[in-house]
Amino acid sequence: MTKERIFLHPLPVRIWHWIHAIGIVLLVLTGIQLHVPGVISVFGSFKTAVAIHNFCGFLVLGDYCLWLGYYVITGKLIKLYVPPKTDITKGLPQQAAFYLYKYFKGEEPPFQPCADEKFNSLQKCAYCFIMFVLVPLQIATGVMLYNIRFFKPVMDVFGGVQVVDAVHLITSYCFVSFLFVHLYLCTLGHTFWAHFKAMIFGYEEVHTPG
Amino acid sequence: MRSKQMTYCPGILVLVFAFLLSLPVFFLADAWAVSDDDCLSCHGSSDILDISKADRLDMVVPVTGIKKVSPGVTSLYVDQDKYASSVHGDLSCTDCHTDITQLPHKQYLAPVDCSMCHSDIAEQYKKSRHFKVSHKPCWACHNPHEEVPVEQLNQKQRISICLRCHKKTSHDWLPQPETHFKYLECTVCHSPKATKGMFLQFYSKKDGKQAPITYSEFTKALGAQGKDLYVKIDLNKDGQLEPFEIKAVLKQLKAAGLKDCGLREQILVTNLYHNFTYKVKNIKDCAMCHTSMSPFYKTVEAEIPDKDGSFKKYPVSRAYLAKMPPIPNQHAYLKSVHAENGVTCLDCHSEFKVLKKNGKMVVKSPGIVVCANCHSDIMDKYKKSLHYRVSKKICYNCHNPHSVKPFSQLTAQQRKAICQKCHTDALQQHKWLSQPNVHFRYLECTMCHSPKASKGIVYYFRGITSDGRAVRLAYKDLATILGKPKVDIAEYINKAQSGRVSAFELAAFLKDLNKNVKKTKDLKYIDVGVHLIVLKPVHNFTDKGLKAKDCIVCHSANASFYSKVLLEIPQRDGGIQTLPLDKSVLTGAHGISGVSDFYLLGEHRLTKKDIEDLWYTIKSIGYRWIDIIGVMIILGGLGFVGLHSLFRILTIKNRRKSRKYDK
Repeated sequence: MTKERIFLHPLPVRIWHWIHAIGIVLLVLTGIQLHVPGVISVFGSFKTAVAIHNFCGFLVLGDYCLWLGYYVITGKLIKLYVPPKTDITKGLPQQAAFYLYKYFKGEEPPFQPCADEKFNSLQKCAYCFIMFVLVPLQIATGVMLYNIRFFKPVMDVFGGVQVVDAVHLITSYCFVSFLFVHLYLCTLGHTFWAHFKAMIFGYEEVHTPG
Repeated sequence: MRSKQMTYCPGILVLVFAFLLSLPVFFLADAWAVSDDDCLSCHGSSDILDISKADRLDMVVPVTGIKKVSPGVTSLYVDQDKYASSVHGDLSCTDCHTDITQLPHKQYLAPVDCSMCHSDIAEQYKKSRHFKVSHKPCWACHNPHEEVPVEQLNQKQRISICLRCHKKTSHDWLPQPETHFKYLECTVCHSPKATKGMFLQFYSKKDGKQAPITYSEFTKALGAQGKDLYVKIDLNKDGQLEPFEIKAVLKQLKAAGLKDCGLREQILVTNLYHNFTYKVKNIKDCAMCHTSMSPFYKTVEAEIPDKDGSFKKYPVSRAYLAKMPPIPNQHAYLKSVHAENGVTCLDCHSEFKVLKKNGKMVVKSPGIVVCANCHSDIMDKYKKSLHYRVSKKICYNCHNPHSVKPFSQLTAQQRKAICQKCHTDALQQHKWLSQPNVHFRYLECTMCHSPKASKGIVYYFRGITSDGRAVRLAYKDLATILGKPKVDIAEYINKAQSGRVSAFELAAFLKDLNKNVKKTKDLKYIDVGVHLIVLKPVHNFTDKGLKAKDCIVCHSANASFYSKVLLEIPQRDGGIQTLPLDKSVLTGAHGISGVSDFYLLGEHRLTKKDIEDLWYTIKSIGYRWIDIIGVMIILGGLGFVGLHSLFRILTIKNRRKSRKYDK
C-alpha cells in the first residue's frame, strides 16, 4: 500500500468554499431569526438580523460568481460537477452501498479521488444539484425578496411573493439538512480530519492498494 | 281511788259492744246500696220506653229547680248485652251515676262527670270551640252504655257520630268531595292533633259485594291457625309485611277460591284529640294530607282477622306506599316542572263536568283529556297512535304529573321504567337483538320505538368514587371542586363564548377539575358520562312498526343522534344548560377518559366528510406545511448522521484491522 499526497483543491476553490460555508451558516442562523421573530433573537434586533442576512446573501452571490467563473475559465466545470450516466446508474449505487454497508465492514472505498476527478458519484450528484439548482434558486428568490416592490412583476409570474418565499424557505431547510450530512460525510476520510485538512491545505493523503 | 276506776270500766265496755255490733253494718252496707240488677230491673227492659211520662214520674223522686240534662244519644233503655260488651261493661251503674244512693232515685240525675276517668279528653274538649259553642256533653255524641272501643268502629260508623248533628256537610270547596267522604272520617281532617294511620284489610267479593275476608277463610287458605297464621304471612320474619309478602297472601287467597281478593285501605284516627277546631283554618290546605309526610303514613298496619272476630294489627313496610299513585310532597311538587310553570293543583284537578258551584270555588270532576289543555300537540300525536288505540292508556298511566324532574332530566333507566310498568316482558321480547342486555343497559325504549323523535348524544359530568361508583355531579359539586362558588360553568368551559364546546375545551376543563378533585373526600377522579337519549319524544311508538328492527338506523355514521352531540352543564339556579359539543370528542384522541366507554358499532369508520375536513385542514395550514416538511428533512439528515455514527463507532475494529496492513 503506497501513501500519496495529491493536490485536490486549488486555492481559489478553497477560498470560495470557506466563504460560502461561513456565508451559508450565517444566512441560516439569521434566517431562523427572520422566520421565527420574537422567539429567537440571537442577532439582536430583527433589523440587525435582516442586515446581516442581506449582506451574507450578497456575499454568497458574489462567491457563487467566483466559483462559476473559476470553473468555467479552467474548463473543469462540466467534468467535475456534471455526473455522466454511468455515475448515476453504477457509481451511485456503489457509493451508497459503501457508505451504508461496506464502510462498516472496513472495506476500502470504491472511489479514489484525483485532481481531475475529485468527486465520487454521490458527491457529484449532490453538488451538481446544489450548485446548479438549489444555490441559484436560493440566490434568485433571496434577491427578489430583497426588494419586493422592484421584483414584483417577476414574482407575480411565479405566483406572488408567498410562492417565492415558500421556495426560499424549503430550499433553506434543504441546505440545513445538507449541512449536517455534508459535515458528517467529510469525517469519513482516511482519518477523521483528513478531508478537513485537504480543504484547508489543498492536499489529500490517498492510500492506493498495491 | 277505787270508785273512779269502777266508773270508767262500764263506759268502755259499752263503746266496745257498740262497735262490735255495728261491724256487720259496715260489712252489710252494700246490702243497702243500689245494685246493677236493681237498675236493670227497670232500665234493662225496653218496656220502659213505653211507659208514659206521668207513670214514670211515679217511679222516681220528683225534684224541682233542677234543670234536666239532655240525654244526648243515651236512652232510658239500656240493652244489657250491649252494655256488657261495651267498653264500660266492667263498671257498675253507680260507678258513673254517683248521685244514685238509694232507690227510687231522683227524677233528674246529675250529669255524669266523665272526667273522673277521662280527664285528658275532658280537658281537650273543654277548650274546644265545639264545646264552647254547642255546649254538647260527652253523651251527645257517644252512648256510654253501648260504646265499643273506637278501634272497632269502621269509617262509616265513625262518621255517623258526627253526622248525628252535622247533617249538612257542605264541602264543595274540595275537589271530589264524594271520594273524601267515602274513605275518610271527619276527624282525619278536623282533628289535626289526632294521630292517624292507614289500615289495610283483606277483602274479597262475596255475592257481588265487597266483604272482609274472615278468619276461617284466612286459615283455610294459608293452612295455619292462631300464631302460626302470622308466621306464615311474614315470610322473611322481619316483623313487618312487605309488598311481596302481601302479594303472596293474596295469591294464596285467590288459590283458595276467593274472588277478587284485594286490599282495602282505610285512613283512620288512632288516638283522637277532642278539639276539632284547633288549627281548623289549616284544614283547607290540600298539602296537609296530600304529602308523603302526611300524618297518616306514620302508622301503616294490616289488619289480619283473629279468632274472636277482632283484628290483629301488623305493621306494613313503608315500601308498600310506593305502589300507591304517588301523592306529591308539597315541597317536592313546588320544585316540579309543572309547579315551576305556575300550574297549581286546581289547574289540572278542575275540569269539565261542573258538580257544584259555591261562591269562589267551582268544583268539577276531572275528565280524561285534562293534559291536552297544555300538551295538545302531544295529545294529537298520541291519540293517533296504536298505543292509545289498543291500550287506551292515557297520560298519567305512564307519567307522573307531580313528578319532580322534567322528562329531560330523567336517565335512560328511569325512562325505561315508565314503559316497563306495563311492558314487563320487554327483555324477553328483544331476544332477536344481538346483545340485548347491552341495549337495555344503555338505551331507553323510545330510542328505537319512536323513530321520529329527535335523539342525541348527551355528555354529563360525573365523579368516580373510590369504590368505583359513578356519581352524577351537580352545580354545587363542580363549583366546590373548582373553588369558585358562583362560577358560570358554561362561561368557564367555553371561554371563547362561541356557543359551542370544543373537545379541547372539554379536555382542559376536566384537567382543571381533576387537579382539585383530591380536595373532595370521596371522589377519585372526574370524567364524563355519555347517554344516548331522546331529546324530544314523539308520542307515536309504532310509527314505522317493523322497520324499527333495522340495525342501520342506529349503527351508521348517518344515525340521527350524531347530529346532536351535547354537553350538559349544570347551572347555579338548579337548571341544566346544554351546549353543542364538538363531534370529534367521540372518536378523537383527546384523552378524555370516560369517552372510551362509549362505542357504537360502525363509529370508527372514516367517512367522506372526514376526508373533506382533513383536506380542508391541510389547505388551511397551507404554506406552513413547509415548516413541518422542512423540519422533517432536517430530522432525516440528523437521523442519518446519528445512525451512521453509531454503526461507525460499533465497527471501529473492522477499519483498524484493515489499516494495520497499511502500516
